[in-house]
Amino acid sequence: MHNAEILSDNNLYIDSLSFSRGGNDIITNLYLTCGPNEVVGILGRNGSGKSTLMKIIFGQTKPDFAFMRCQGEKFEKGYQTRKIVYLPQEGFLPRQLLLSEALHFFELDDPNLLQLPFIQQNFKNRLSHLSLGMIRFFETLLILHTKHSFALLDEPFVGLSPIYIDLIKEHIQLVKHRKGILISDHYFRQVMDISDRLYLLKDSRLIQVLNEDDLIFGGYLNHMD
Amino acid sequence: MRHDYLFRLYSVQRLNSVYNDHANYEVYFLLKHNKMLAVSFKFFRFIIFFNLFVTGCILLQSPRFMLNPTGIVSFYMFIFWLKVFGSIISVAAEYIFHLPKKEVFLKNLHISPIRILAWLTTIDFLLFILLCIMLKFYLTTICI
Repeated sequence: MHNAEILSDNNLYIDSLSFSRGGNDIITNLYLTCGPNEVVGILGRNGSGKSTLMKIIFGQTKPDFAFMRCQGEKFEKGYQTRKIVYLPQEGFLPRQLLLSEALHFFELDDPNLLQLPFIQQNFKNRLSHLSLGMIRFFETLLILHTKHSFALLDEPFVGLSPIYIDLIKEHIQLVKHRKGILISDHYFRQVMDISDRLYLLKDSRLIQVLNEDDLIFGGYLNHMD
Repeated sequence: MRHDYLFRLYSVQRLNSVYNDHANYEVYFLLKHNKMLAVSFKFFRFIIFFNLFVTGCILLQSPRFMLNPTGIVSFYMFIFWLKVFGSIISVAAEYIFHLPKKEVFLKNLHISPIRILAWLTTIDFLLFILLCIMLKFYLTTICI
């Protein structure tokens, strides 16, 4: 399995990733791959290192050690490969930006995204005029529909109403045929629904999860959930 | 009912059905070759206007130095130190207060925040050299 993954040049490939802060090991010797048409979910308790992992891949945080490769190209900062986009937890679009400007800047390879009523209704609005949930929805759409090969989504469902969550899940399924997606969120059932592979980040290591029982066994859920 | 209406409005099937229409493709790539410039004018106005302000101060103060015999030397010193402090203050303020807010946005556009700051500072420096040459030309050919 591992050899097949290593030989595939289309994957996002993370190996031996280690990160420590203040003498504590946050991530130790992590191995992870994500295919170009695959959704990989990562769950974990608060502070387990999910966001740190994404920041390291994107190039926001420097690891102690990591060997990372994207579609055959070795990299230290993911954004420099021009193949990886990142949706951070706290949002990333400057609030003074118009929706139309944001779409222009990201050179979407899907211009018909503009025909979505949400976009049409707010096309000339500044992001500062939208609610936090709507900004989150728009940011997630933007990240999903860019022409990059891989998207890192850090808690995309936070602050979204159920209907928007369902829409984001639909869009993930829609773009999955041309994009690999690494997703992390505490809405674990939503993540389980859309993920092809699922991992639990626990004690600075990744454990593969197949069902909710594994999450209970891994200490992420208690029996009452 | 409301749910159905919203769902129909926002449905990705609608998006899917028009996926292959590239009629307006060019419009969305209008800024492709001017991205760096567009990003600079949109998100780095502080550093641009602060440096223009410094240049304005230099030009506005220049007549004062021409009135006394040692004025030209003092003028060059004034230009040099004002520009040095102006550049340091503008870059530091941009780096500390503004850059962290737009760092991920710039990186998602494949623009290194440090590189764009260096790019702007270099352009400012080149324009400053040009200004100095023009002032030198003005002082040697017109004033003397």
